[in-house]
Amino acid sequence: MADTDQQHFQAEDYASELRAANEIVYKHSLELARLKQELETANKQQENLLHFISHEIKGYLTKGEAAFAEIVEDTSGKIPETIKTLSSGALLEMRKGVATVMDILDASNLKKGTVTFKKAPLDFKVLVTKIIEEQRPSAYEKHLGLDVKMSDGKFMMDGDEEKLREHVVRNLIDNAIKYTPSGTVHVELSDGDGKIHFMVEDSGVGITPEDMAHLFTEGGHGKDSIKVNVHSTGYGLFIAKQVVDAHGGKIWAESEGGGKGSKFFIQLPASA
Amino acid sequence: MPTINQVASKIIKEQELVIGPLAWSEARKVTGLSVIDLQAGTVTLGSGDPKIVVDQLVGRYERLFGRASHEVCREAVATLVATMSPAEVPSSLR
Repeated sequence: MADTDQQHFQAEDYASELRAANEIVYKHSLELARLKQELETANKQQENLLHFISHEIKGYLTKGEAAFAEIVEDTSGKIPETIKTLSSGALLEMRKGVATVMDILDASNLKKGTVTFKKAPLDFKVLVTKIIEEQRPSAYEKHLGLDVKMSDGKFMMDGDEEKLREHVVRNLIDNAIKYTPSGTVHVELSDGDGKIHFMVEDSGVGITPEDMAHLFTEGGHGKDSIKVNVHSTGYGLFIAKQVVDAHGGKIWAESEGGGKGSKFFIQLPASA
Repeated sequence: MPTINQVASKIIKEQELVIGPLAWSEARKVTGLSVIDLQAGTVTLGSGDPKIVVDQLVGRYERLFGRASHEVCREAVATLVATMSPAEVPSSLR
């Protein structure tokens, strides 16, 4: 057989092998594409189900909350003190339940893009001061120091006060208190470069590099955080990031690792 | 009623799900097929019989990736083709 014929047959063999290999790769890609589609559908269904369940449970919890609040706040003297004490505890638990469900619902709504932000001029310092005063008893109960440093003047910005207060400031200070077994929580508020700078530092459980990578993602609580706070939904920081992002700001965390405390930073655009 | 352009576009988009942007670069090599808007995924079938252009598109994918890719093309447009008159349907999709 002539050399050219042999080369021709060899080239045909290679081409045929290449086609077969292409076909195999294609079939694998096709399978992956179908699995991806199935997964996306399943995720969507799960999300809708979660949203539905959360919404329903929120309804039940809110009714229970209202009933317990009526008992606790009763001034007629007809309700025995023992019932009032029990109801007070139940009311507290009910409120925690509502907060948890609201976190899940809010995360779901933020993902769906169905959250509207009602922005109006606000003094961020007033907002932070209020939360600190509300959170101080929790720090006191745990024998933690709560050190606050704020620059003088107003910290005006355009923002959704309720969302910034509940999902960002309260969340960060509350987390710092929850995840710090002993020591001090430092809160700092300053301004510069047309931005409001807010920082919460704790001497708590810290964040490992592994946890840091998915800290602000949905359900992204740390591996050890669940040991400290069994009620963690893992949605708090995800929601905080969505809210800060929606205000054109930045949120990030720093930690030297597990057991070495952590610092959370927020930058928000100040009003001109 | 769907147009033959929509059929071609649907085929490419479906192939894109499997092989990524390669689906578009291969489609551009088919004579008579022009991509109007890559973002929107719209194409137009120019000169000649558009059914033959679609057959060439399907054939191109099949030559590169085998029979499975032909099946993907057929499944992708099954609902579109069902509403077209038989004379309008390219032979590769019947």
